[in-house]
Amino acid sequence: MLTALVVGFVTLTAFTADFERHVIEGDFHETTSGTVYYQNSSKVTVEVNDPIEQMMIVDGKVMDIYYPQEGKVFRIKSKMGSPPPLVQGIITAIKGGDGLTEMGYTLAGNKKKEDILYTYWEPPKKMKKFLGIIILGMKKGRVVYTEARTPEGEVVSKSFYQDYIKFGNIWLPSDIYSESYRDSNITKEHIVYKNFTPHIPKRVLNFSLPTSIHVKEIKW
Amino acid sequence: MRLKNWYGVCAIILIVAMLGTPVLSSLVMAQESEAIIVKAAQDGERDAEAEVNKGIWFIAGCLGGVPGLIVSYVYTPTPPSARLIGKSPEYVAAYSDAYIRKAKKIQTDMALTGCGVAAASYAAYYLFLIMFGCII
Repeated sequence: MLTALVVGFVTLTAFTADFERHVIEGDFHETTSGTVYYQNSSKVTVEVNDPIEQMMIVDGKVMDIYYPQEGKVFRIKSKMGSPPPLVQGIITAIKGGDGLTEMGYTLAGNKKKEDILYTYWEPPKKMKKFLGIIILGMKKGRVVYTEARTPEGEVVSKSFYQDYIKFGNIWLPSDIYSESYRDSNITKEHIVYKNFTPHIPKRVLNFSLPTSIHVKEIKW
Repeated sequence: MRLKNWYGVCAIILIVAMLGTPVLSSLVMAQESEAIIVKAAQDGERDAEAEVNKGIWFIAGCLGGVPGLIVSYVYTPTPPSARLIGKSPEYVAAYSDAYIRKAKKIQTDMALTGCGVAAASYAAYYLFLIMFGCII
């Protein structure tokens, strides 16, 4: 019933996890918490409990944002599709270099510093004007650090992956901290995942929007 | 007599407070909602400014000419979905509108610049050929 994302030799199967996400931008601090349900690589449901009740259902190129209390729904259809929220970091961590190879990146070098092996990945030739290198830090075969740069060598974002937990036959990071830089502003995002389980509740699997609610469509 | 006046004043204050509270609270809510919309629009415009690849649209205008320009008008960019986690419906609507509006403006401006640069280059080249007698 549930398909899986095959990544090299590892397979990410369906999972449910509680999350707490902190975002800091200058003086602005926001905390969000809820549960993420990963069904397959294109179907992800995020249920937010705090600060408001919200459900985000990403299914391929369509994303529904449902507000049960207000009785409102936004249906966002995008031509390119948007990466499903809250699972991107986990997918990056388990894919590692395989994911970059899939995207056309090539390994340009490596350096070992203390117990972390840093590998340097160059973007596809056609994209070198727009994309810079990506640095991947691995420890004991697990991704612990990623860094993305502009073609000019400026750091765009840094992410740190830690507190790996065993889930089936793979290891998943339960703590992901990222910093992204634009101009002189830094956006910090810290996501902590708890209570990983392979079980997805039936109410999520069989969820459908109430027919009485008006759906506002937005085309991206 | 004085006591009666005091009762009157107190009664008026009470009535004003009772009637005024819903008005005040709705005013506060309206202000909060407006603040959310302003912040969402600012966030949307800032994200579009940072995420739209200006170089690609310049090249699209430069090499693609008019078709490149049309694509820049028609193509709708995808805002980051992570931005909308835990946000109110007002924020989602205002953010999406602002992001798409700003991103499309950047796309078309850059494509138009690219198209203009290409046209100017062609014109200069043509002029060069005429001046040096390659074209009669």
